[in-house]
Amino acid sequence: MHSKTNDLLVGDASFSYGDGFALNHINLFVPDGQMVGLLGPNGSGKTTVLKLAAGVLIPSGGDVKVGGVSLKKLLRRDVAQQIAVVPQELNIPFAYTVEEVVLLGRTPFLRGLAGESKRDSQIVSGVLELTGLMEFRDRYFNELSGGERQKVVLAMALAQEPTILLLDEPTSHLDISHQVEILELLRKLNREKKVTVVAAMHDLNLAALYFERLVLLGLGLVFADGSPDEVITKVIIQKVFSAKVEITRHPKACVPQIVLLPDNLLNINSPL
Amino acid sequence: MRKYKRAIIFGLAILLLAVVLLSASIGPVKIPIPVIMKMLLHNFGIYTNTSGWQAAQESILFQVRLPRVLGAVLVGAALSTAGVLFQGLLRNPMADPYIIGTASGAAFGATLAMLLPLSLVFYGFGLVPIAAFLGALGSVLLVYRLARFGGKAPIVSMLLAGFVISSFLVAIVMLLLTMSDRLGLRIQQVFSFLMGGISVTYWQQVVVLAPLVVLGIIAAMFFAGHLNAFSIGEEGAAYLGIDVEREKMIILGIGSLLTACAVSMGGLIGFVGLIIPHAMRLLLGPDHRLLLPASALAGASFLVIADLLARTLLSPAEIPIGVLTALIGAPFFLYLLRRSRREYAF
Amino acid sequence: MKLLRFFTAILVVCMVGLTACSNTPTPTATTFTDDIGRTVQLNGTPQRIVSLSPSNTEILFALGLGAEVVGTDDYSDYPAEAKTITHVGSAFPSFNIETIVSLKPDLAVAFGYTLPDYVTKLQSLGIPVVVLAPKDVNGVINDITLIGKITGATSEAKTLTTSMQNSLNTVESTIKGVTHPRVLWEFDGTDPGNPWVAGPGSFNDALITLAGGQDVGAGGPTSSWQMNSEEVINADPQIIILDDYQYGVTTESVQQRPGWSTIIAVENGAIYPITDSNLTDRPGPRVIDGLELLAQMIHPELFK
Repeated sequence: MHSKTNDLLVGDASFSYGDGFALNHINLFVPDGQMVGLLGPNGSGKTTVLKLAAGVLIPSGGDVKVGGVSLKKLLRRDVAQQIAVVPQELNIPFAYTVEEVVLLGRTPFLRGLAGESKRDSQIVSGVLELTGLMEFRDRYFNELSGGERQKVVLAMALAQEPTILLLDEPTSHLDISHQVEILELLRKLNREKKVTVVAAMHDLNLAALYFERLVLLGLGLVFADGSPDEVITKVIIQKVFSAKVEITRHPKACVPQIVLLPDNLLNINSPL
Repeated sequence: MRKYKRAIIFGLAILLLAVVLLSASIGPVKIPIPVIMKMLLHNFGIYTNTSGWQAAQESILFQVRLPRVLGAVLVGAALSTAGVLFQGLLRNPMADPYIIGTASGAAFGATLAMLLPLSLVFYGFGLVPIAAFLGALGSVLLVYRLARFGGKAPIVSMLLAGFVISSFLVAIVMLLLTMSDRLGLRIQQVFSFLMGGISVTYWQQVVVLAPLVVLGIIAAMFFAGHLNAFSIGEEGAAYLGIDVEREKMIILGIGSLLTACAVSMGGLIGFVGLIIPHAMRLLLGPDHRLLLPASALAGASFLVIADLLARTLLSPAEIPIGVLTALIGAPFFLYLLRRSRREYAF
Repeated sequence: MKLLRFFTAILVVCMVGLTACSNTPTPTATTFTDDIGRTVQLNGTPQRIVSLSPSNTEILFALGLGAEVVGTDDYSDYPAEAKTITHVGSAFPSFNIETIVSLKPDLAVAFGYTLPDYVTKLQSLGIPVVVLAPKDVNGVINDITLIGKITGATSEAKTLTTSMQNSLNTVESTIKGVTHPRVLWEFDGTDPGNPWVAGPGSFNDALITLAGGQDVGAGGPTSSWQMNSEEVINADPQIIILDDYQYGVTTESVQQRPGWSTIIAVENGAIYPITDSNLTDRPGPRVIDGLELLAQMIHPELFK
């Protein structure tokens, strides 16, 4: 069963792991086709929000809906046909090839004893092409570098042909070139294929550069929600991250960029 | 890729057939393979000429040898398939079918049965195999219940619970033995069970267990694609749309059922469920859609050969089959590891 | 160098002297050699005897020494009086050394399968231990003679052994020159495809031979081993003896085993359950009864 639109609504959701950490009354509405960056310090619940959005965790209060349909009413299989998740790290103890891993993305569509169809193979090839992994298709996943592996995991998620793509810190542990590669790809998917993207981001500057809307989590709730200018301010960063920063402007794009202030520079007046 | 898969499965099936015929022809009474073919065809009403063989050969083949050889086929296939299921689900190439308590449960059931002065025959199965079967299943259920918390049964908890239950049951087995009468003979019997040996005497046993094993393997095949998905972790599998807790339970159930069937026919035969899936993965890759049927067929052939050697090498005595599976399997596996180009990363 | 040789000589002389000294027995002590070659030393006739196996108990009682037996193992049940004597444990899983010592025995009669540790322990506590390990009926007769000597019951021993020897001779002469049929002795057939049978070196194997039979299990590796169905069918025994009656194995169940219908013993109905396995399994005075029973089963035409 598919929804008419693909809006994602995390409606007044609360969740607790039972060890003191809790998310309270989180409200997040992502309209179809938006690209949202989810920010927040470690432990603020970014991963938890993504898991709630994917239906893998059930909120104790509130509800998560896709296109107006509550995830509780959908089979896991149906959810996976619309929402794909790119986790932070993937550990595979067996020697699967890149192509085999990407093919796993078709799992929600495979039936019973039947293997993959021609269409499944085509989708896999298309995704490998899109992510620049064609030449890696017969290499073993475990032999690739961190950046390459991350691309494969992204490719696997894309093979699900999702309307909503959730990513958990897709750029951490990567070299700058790979980080840019992934983010450019996400932007392309969002612009050309209208895929809704929600990505938990570690790097505030990259988030500001690539995401039109930023949602900042802090202290168990949504602390700020808006454009990069609205969210990345000195006061907000100080409050949520407990860090003293200077805000500058990116030389080419019109977005704020954080500049760190080490202790020895704190007493010098800024030109801004 | 698809054609290549079919060829391998076909080849393994042919190998199995050849190995079965070979094993059926060897024993204290030699029955040449062409004679076997004639007798089989005659049995199915195709061949009407009744000369060419002796009554003794027919009697031995149909009443004694074939049930045993088919028993080896079933045990080998069941253990290998269970091995694939557990290794895939637990994401651990070192897992074997006994890992979550089936072995100790079976030993417990079997020892209890050996000590009871009851004589019971159910479709050809005595009290010991039935008790072993029930013990194996009961033990897994107990482990699952212990590990289950908040609707989930994490793999680590199951492994721990399995270890605890195993230790406990083994201790009880020891206690029961020390309190028993005719201790010398009991120890021999328990040891015999622990070392393993194909114990299929009646056709009824084959008739009862064959459908269970075959259905179990087919059911496992339905989960082949999902087992591939499980290899990225339970969380990743959930993202791919798999109802993790439900399928985990089902897959464990199928694996345990197959293992229980195997112990009721052969005692605790080690090595097969660990090494065959491993070896097949090294040779054919980790895709479960090929790995499952290939392991079942290869495991069956392997055990038929092991059983053949077990009953002929030191004739008239028998070598416990568990000893043979280790002696043959270990060097062969070592060879595979060295020649293999597929790497393991863990 | 000369000094060293001198001291070495002194040392040797001392050692010889010491060993010579220690070999002088005390006036009333006597020595015997038991079945495993150990030297047993006793001071006087034993008055308080502990028996560590059922067969030993039977021997002691048969020699009229029932009153001197102060302790027996848990499984001693013949004659009936033996059951009321203090129990001291058994070979499996363990004997209770404390109980044995508390009975203040001056002789312990052990059996071949008793662990050497117990023998050593009892010896070190000052209790002489004689180990009996008969391999066949002659061994039992010799053991009875030995016990008779140790306990002073020499005339009772003579009477018993003579009677046993006579019966043995009768059996031997009756079967002289007769062909030995093939006999299968089944210890445990609860797994009908792989029954446990008597093998070479077992007491039962020796009995079968004495009774004029040929043990089909004699080609096996140990005294008790599993012979698979096919091998049994191939061996084609003419007589099957069931020593597993108490496990529920019946003549009918044996006849129904797959493939066994072609065995001669099954065709002729020559399947005999042993109702009292103590007659044939216990290497004691009643072993002659067991032998005669066996001879009847194997050669019914010669014995009644």
